Amino acid sequence: MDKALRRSMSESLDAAGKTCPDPSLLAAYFDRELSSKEAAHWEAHFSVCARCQEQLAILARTEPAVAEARVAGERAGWRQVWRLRWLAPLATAAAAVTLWVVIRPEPPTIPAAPATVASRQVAPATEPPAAAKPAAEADTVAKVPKAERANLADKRSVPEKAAAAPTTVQQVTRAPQVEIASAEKKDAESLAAQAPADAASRDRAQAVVLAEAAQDEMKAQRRADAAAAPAEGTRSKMAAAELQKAAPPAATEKGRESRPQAEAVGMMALRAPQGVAVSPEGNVVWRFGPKGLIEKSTDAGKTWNRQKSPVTVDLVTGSPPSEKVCWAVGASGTVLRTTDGELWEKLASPTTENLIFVTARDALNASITSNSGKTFVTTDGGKTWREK
Amino acid sequence: MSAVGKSGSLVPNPEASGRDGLEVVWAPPAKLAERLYARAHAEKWQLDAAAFAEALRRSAEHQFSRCEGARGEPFRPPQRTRGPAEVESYLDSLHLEDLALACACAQGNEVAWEHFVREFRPVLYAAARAIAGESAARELADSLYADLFGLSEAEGERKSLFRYFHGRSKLSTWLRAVLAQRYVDVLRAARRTESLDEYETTEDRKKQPRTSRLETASRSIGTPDPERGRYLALLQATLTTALAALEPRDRLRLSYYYVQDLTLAQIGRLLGEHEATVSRKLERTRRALRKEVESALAGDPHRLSEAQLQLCFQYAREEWPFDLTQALSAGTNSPGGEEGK
Repeated sequence: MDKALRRSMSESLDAAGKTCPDPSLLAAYFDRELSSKEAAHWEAHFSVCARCQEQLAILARTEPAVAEARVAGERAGWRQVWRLRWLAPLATAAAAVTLWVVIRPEPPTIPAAPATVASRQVAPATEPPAAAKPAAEADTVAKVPKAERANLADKRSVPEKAAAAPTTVQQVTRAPQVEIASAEKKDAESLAAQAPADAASRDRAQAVVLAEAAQDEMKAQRRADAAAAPAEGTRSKMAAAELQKAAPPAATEKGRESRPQAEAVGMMALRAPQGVAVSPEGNVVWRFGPKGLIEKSTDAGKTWNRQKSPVTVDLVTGSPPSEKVCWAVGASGTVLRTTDGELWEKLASPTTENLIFVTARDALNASITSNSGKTFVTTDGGKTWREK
Repeated sequence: MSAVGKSGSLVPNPEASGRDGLEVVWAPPAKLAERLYARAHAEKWQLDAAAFAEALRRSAEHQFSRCEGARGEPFRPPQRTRGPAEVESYLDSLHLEDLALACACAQGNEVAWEHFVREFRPVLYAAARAIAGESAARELADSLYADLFGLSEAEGERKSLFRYFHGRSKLSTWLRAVLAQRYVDVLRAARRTESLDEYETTEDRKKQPRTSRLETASRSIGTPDPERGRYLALLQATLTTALAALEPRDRLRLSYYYVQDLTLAQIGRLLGEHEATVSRKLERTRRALRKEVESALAGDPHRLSEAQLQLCFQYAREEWPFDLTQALSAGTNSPGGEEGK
């Protein structure tokens, strides 16, 4: 049946060509600027028009951005619900995260590395841990008042060092890890901000974090202070889009659509790169990685200490409801938890599927999601689980 | 000349005609224009206030006008009047800074162009490379760049492609969308040409009735079942019907996956869904289609037995000569059938 479907289409209705929307509308649809009614109207057309589908597919495939961060409520009226569903929860108090992304062109032409600063909100860098073999981490601790956009064409990996600059912050609190992806030399020009950055060694890893710029993105782009932040690890992948492609669903943790809060946290997890979990206090941050790696920072990501891990499977992400309590999940149904912030224990798990997402309210209540979309909830600290 | 509500509402006037022959003429009220100008930081480019107001006007018209034709169907049937609040709300939602830059560039403003060259030109070229590959990128990007610059001067007036940017999206996305459209159109034109070149072959093939072609095919792989052709035809027909009955988003999802070969993440990006959701829904759609097809085949008038159904799907697995394009379209004539896998 699958093959039968795959056989399908190609040139769809050419007559549809006469009613195709122009690029400005396609772009607006892609940027999710259309109201839900408008979007639905055009989707009805797209669903029978190969020409439009091809264009949209190109936009999706070649998107330089990694993720979106949008200030919910920034624009009134025309923001539609379905888009908000995707983005709005980010505005929740718990989810204010800002990231700096610094991208640096190859040394020869430009002395300073342009820094692209991202978003006033959650910064999304989805670094699928499994996809990129080496764990790549870059610490960025900086906040930006405005959203900036990083344009990265490709990942021929110019080594760069992530530099982040602390500046005034609109929304505060978290210091997520950012992985910065390097951009080609030429693309460096497109980077808005210029910032001094130290040269990074070849094995620096970077991820691209893209934050959608708000109205004043132009202005925001200009802004670039960068304080050097050490980038650790190596990364060989490029834009999140590609990363996501190669990555197991782990890269995109999902909240459930019907539960706004879960979504909010889900979006948070989605945005946090490379299994980074930030506690509500902001200073305590955990990050997780391959082979059971658990690391903790108590200074908002400036320094990290490795913690003893009860497992050696790949860990994907975690959820810390407080500075002392944190849950983590990973491959083969692994569920871990700490209740004192130091010692980790492995809990009984309802599944052996790879887990890609966890959201926890406290030491007893948590919900985990597997890569097949199944979700399990516990209210007794992992002793028993119930599938949702 | 124009039926403009004093309060700045958009009123269609059958007698008036706007710039592009549109039926609606409207101008943003001064206060609104001023406020938006400030928000757009248009003074950076020393943009003429009237020019910016004009850009705003054109944007509103693009959104609300009744003009059909080249731009396609209007989003919704035109109403008598658009309240000022609605128009203002729309304008407020635009990417104003990008619009101001585009407007200034369209005017040939040097400072604006300098900025564009520095910040956007690389984006443009990088996007072209990503879209068309190294070899074709240059040409694709150059030609767009030239059009943006307004090299083709008509009637002595510099006509820049920037005038088609209305601020509803980011400027960078719009640039990529224009590139994508140009690229796709070139590809499609090339495909049509190619198939014309192969006209003879396909034409000859077309002369054969579908069924007999299938039988030939089936014979060639040594399966003598005379029903094979009929089964496959039935399967295609029911599948086509089932696909046509899908919700647009479900059909889109399927198409992105099977035709465009997008990843789950990319599909999610386009539809505003999480990867797992995409995967789940794809599966659900597949199952629903299968169920639909099975029940259609098992019921009247075909009344296939369980065994025959199995045979149907088995043949499909082995060989699928049909092009299911119609399934996702309204039934254009598609070139022949594909053979094999």
